[in-house]
Amino acid sequence: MSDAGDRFQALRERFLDRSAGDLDTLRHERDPAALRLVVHRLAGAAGTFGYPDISRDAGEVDDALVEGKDPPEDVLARLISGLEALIDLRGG
Amino acid sequence: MSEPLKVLYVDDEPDIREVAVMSLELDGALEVRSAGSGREGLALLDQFTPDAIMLDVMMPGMDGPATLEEIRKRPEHADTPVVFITARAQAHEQARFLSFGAVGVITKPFDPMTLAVELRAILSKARA
Repeated sequence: MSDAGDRFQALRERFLDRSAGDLDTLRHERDPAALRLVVHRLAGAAGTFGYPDISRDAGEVDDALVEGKDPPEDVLARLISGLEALIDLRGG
Repeated sequence: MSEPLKVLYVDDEPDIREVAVMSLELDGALEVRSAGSGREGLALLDQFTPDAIMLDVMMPGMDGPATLEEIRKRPEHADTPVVFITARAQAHEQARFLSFGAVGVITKPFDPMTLAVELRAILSKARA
């Protein structure tokens, strides 16, 4: 792999490490501001690391929170299961 | 050989900041410095004079628009083109960000292979 490819892979691993740490927040946090910090980060970053579905779902939850609505439960559930699958896939 | 285009990239999210710097450097003719907050970015402007500034919109403390306001108070950076980076993709929000005086908006998630191309396209359009 090229040097840039190695660096990108290392950054992707770090992103997944941080996302694993965010799962608890996604599962249990109901304070909109705290939840928004996590989904906004995922919305902005996941697609760059090759996970556009995670970005899309996180963006939908982010949009709802910005509008003062409850996060859509089905989308939030899909976001959590999608992240869990990614983390399981790499054996984390 | 022409001078490299100097870019300051400001984003509180370390993973994205690093991948953005790496992506911009793939261009080969960009000199990139980065900062993890609006305040850090402003401090960097004392020692680095960029040709363009990329600012994340949503940052804790001083956000992107507030950072732009501070940048514009400095006469030497009154006309430096600023591009906002945001995960908020809705058109009315992008129009609002432009109304703060940015020359363009790049939506996150960005494609790391084309970030420099996107930046150059926005800067060319702004100069036209």
